[in-house]
Amino acid sequence: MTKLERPLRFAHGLCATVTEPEHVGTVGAVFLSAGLLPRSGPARLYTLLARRLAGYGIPSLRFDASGVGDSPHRRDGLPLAQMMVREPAEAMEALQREVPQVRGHLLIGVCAGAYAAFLAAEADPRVVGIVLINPQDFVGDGAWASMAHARRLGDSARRLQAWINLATGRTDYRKVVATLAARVKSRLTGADSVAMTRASAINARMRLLLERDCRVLCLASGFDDTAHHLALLYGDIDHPLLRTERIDGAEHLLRNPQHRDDAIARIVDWAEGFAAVSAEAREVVEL
Amino acid sequence: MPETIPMHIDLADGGWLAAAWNPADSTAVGAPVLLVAPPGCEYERCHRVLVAVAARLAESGVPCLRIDLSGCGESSGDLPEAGPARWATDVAEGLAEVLRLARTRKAVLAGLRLSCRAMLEPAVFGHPAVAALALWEPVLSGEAQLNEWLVAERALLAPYGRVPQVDSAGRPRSCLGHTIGLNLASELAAWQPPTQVPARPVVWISGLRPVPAWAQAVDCRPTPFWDRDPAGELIPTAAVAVVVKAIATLARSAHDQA
Repeated sequence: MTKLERPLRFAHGLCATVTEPEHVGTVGAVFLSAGLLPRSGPARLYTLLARRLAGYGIPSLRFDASGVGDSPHRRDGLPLAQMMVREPAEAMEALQREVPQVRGHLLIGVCAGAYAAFLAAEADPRVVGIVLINPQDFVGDGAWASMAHARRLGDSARRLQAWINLATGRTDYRKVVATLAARVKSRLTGADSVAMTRASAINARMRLLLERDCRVLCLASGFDDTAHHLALLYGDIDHPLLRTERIDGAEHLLRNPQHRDDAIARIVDWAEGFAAVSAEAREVVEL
Repeated sequence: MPETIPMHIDLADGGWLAAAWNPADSTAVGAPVLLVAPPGCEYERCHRVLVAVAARLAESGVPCLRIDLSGCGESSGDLPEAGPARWATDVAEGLAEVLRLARTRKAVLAGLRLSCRAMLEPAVFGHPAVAALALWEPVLSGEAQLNEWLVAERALLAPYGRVPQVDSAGRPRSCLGHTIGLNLASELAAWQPPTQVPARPVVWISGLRPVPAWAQAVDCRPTPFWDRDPAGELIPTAAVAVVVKAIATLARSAHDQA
């Protein structure tokens, strides 16, 4: 049996793992760091997903961004916003060097990694698909965050369990009050309109990405503000390449085996269009 | 800052252990250290801290090899298929690799939390190449670890009005997204504190647990980073400094004897 994974260092010493199945196509996947978590991802989501994708003939590279996991900090003082675009590009180049058949890339990220995937996809025409798992930071605005959170509270108010949680002290009522206060302040100060202007710009950028034939899968956890962020941002986009799905009952990092496996199944299903291995020949790679 | 070299240790069954090698900055002044990450959900929470420990050891002239146990991090397999026997074998494989990399005959074993228990298997600590052991906030029984994982899972789920799923013996079925499974839970429950203790220097680095008679205490302010989300935590630099000093002292002593 040929060994499926190997370690790699690339760029200025970024540490990575390459997963290369025996039969590969022209599309590879790059996983982007989920905040400060190492490259195995939250609850090993990236490791397990990379091995599943390998069964479909999709090679992948998962790496620790600068200063995360095993990778060293950058010494060139590159601003974070630029680093979030450059390092995924360096990772794609590294994957193409390792697996020369690869021409196009899927970028997959959780939380901050999802935001980085969006930015990197905009900047690089090699990206043919992105998977955004619980992205929240698109607008980077306090008023926006409170808007999404208030929508979630509105949803919760329709559930009996939410009221029970509030009455029994499971819900931090101070956070609820703070959110409502932030909403009032944002409306009075005009911060809402600034946030909406920024959101409109993000919406236009997403449309451009879709027009470039880049496929987008957004996964939102039920117990997270993401679904509300996405509804506010892209709710009006009806495009066949944009798919938004919700994982009910899941928290931000999918730290429940059923939710994690559900996310893996949805991503694999979405990625099937990029598979290099026919369904008949496919076998799940287990390591 | 010394470089970190990611690597794999290939196993006879086709699997591998993911590892990261930090060679000493200049000429090594200490025996090499095998630093073993804890399994399960604590892997993610401890990773940054262990990276810092390994880097600082290397800076002080002590080469260090970090490994992920089977079913954890970047290593092959999945957690429910791993277990105490496999992890003890993993430590032995890591030991052989660190000796090969550093070209020495002696090494220091350093563990954090449950990985310490794997080092306390006689087949592991009895190896002639083991010069000393450093146990950082050790968890000495699988049952104790399961109880702590249950508490962590309960804390994760409480804000959502949920409770952990447990098996018929009340053991958690998963912890923070990591499936434990019935077999692993049973094996862990049967993993009792060691009955044999190493006839080698052992340092016990803890601010939480009383030191047994067979180990030398190194007091370390309790900073339970393994129980917290790394996104909201700074690296406990004071604790790391204490740990690095304790391990480096063992490594230099082993080096001098060699």
